[in-house]
Amino acid sequence: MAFDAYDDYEQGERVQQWLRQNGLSIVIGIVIGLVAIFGWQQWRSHQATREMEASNLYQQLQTALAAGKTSDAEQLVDRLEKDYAKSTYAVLAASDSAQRQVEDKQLDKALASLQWARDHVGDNPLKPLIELRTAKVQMAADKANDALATLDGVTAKGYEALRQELRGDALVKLGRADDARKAYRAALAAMGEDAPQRAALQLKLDDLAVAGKQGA
Amino acid sequence: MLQSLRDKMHGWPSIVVLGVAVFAMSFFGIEGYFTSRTETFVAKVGKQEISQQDFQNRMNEMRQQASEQMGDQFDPSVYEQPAMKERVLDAMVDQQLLLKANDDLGMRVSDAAVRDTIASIQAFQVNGRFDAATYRAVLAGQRKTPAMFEDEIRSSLAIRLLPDAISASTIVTDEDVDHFLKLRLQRRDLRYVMLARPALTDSKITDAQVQAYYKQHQAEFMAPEQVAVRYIEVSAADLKADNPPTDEDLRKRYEDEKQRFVQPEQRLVSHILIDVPKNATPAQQKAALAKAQKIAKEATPQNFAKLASEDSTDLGSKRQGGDLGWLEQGVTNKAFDDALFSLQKGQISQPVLSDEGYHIIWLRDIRSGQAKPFEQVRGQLEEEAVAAERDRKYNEVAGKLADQTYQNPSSLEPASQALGLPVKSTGLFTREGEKTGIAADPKVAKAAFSDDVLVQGNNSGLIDLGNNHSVVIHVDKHVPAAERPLAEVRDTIEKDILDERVAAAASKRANDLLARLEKGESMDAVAASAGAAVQTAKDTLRVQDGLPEQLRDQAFLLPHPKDGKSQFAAVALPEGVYALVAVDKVQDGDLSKVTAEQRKMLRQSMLAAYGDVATEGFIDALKAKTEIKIAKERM
Repeated sequence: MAFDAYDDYEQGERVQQWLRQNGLSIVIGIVIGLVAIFGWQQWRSHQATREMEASNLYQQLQTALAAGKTSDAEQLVDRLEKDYAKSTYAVLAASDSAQRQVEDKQLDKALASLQWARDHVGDNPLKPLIELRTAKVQMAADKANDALATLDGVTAKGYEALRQELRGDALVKLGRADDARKAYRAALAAMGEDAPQRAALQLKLDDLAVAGKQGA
Repeated sequence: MLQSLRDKMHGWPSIVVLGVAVFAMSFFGIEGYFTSRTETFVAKVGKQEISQQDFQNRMNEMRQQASEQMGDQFDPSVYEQPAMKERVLDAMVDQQLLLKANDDLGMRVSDAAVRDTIASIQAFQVNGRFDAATYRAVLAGQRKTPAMFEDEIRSSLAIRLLPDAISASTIVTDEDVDHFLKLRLQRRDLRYVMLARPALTDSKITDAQVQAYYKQHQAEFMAPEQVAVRYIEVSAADLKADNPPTDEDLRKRYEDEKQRFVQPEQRLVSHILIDVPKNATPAQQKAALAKAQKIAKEATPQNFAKLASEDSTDLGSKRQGGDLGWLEQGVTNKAFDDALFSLQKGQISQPVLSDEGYHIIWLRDIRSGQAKPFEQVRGQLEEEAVAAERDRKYNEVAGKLADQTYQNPSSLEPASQALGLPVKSTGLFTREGEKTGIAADPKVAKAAFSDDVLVQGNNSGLIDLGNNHSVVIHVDKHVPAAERPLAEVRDTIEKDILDERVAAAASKRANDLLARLEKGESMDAVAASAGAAVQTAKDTLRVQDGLPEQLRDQAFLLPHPKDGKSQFAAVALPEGVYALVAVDKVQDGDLSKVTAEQRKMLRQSMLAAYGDVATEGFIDALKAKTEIKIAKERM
């Protein structure tokens, strides 16, 4: 090894020289590493705190709703949507609002709430659910064509039973009984054997019976 | 340094040392390349494994629950069936998916939810309200700290987090409710003709026909397999205790178990907890101690409750002003216990460190212990002694019986003679057992028909019938399943053949008449030709009395009448009778008759049903995004 060709003093010199050349980058590297690790931990704990805060607000919202305190509930939804817009809880709270607005027959407001949820939900398995709920409210607002378009735009996997039942409902409204029958059958096939919704779905399907193939 | 090392290393010793070092270093850890890791999971959801241990634990839990709920009816073999195992594993996979989704979506169980859940558990309540002392006592009984229990509650709530949120935000529109009600309360105008059972035209039956029917329906004409058994029974109720306990025995028993009859000393206590996290830094610990010391200095009996409700971190007792109720020695952890039982009445302690953190303890009152005298508990002791003696005797005899019958498997006689117990016998019974006697217990019938007892002819094992009562059985007589002879079942067969003829005739006539209706002939004319009259039922509902059920159901499965043309069907009713039915008009349900209250209830149940479908859908969506491996062979 070339290094051995030097005596102790020279070896020391060379090491010092190397350190002088590269010492700064080493120190900077270590500092960057430490900052990254520390920052990551800080960010994680910040994230956890935020999630916990959002969770507490959502829990308060549920308590307020159960007690029928609507104005408190609305304030809590506002806070969630404003301060925790990226949180799943805000999306769920928006969908909660939509539910109440539908019950109060304010379909436009419900659609707006769902639109907010759709814009903020991100790409996760709750997204198709929000879209399906949008389609349902569109249908109630006599926009069966829009609803059908929304439904056909849902391509993510899952929710087959829910989606096909909604499609069936929309197609019945549009007078397309044959397609509706197919949709209802697909919904029944996708639904669990002991799902409580099965009987109602079978009722809808049976009502579309045609001569020669009675019932399902 | 390396240089000098090398200068001094010469000759074969250094080569040997170096060789060993090189060998060790090159091959250390190499076995990892040759032994492949054995997988042990039963299912793998994403990166999370469900181990065999987890799965077995869950199966055991379910088994235990079922056995507690069903008692004697419980059949453990259900839990050995692959279908059951798969169901349980599926549920575990779903839970794992939901937990992972919580992480991905940033969902967390709030403290308030944990607190409310704990407060609502009945085991911790006194007079319908959460009671901190009971809470601690129950947990101590299960050897859990509040923190451990809170974690358990938290993870059980975590599984419900997303399903609950999805259900709670489900949307059901007025249109959904209307749509359902219109269908559910749909009204149909019906006409129908009940066709009488046709007369039998050909009642002649040949021997060949009977023979053929007998061959075809062989399975229906089998007499079931039966056995009769002999048995020895041992029952605690029939055993006499040898010698009643003497006064001296009872006194000794009293001395031995004295603490049972002593009401232990109890202390009424409140506390303030300043918790110290498990992995606290020294600084955190110091801060907690300082805070605790400050509170301890300020605390007086007057302001203790106020301080507790402000500063205590014990969720359970905080709201009650730190009240823990009356505690006995040994209920809480040791540090707390020692401090509590060294205090004088009315005193407030300095901070005491336990696993949970620093406690400031206020001893409010003392109830001293008392012992009941021997005379007062003599009766109870005597009863216990007799019962214990009888149990001991029963176990002794039952043990000997099991032993003797096992050593002489081919006969019950040796055991009978050795123990002085009579051999009894039962009549013939089937696999279903008998209504009375020992064969009423399904375990006896099962044992009697088991391979070991029936085929090998051995004594059964000791069969526990409950209540310190058990038997050993031995098969006495065996009647195999057999075809019942033709002569015995001839009458039944002839009746069946005639019934079939009538049914075929009735079906043919109904279908002929239906064809005439569909060609356009009037229902009145068709009915008249069959000697029957047309009946009408306007505004029939799906659920309505007065019409045969099958007829009503069929009428609601028919298509809507189109262009004024009625829809027809022939319906088979019980007893081989047929009816013809016509649907003339279909109307939506009358929504004006539905009250607001009914609508509200319907909406609630629809919310639940759609919430269910949505949750299923959500789990399906998670499954589509996650790699799930199931190892059935390890289940």
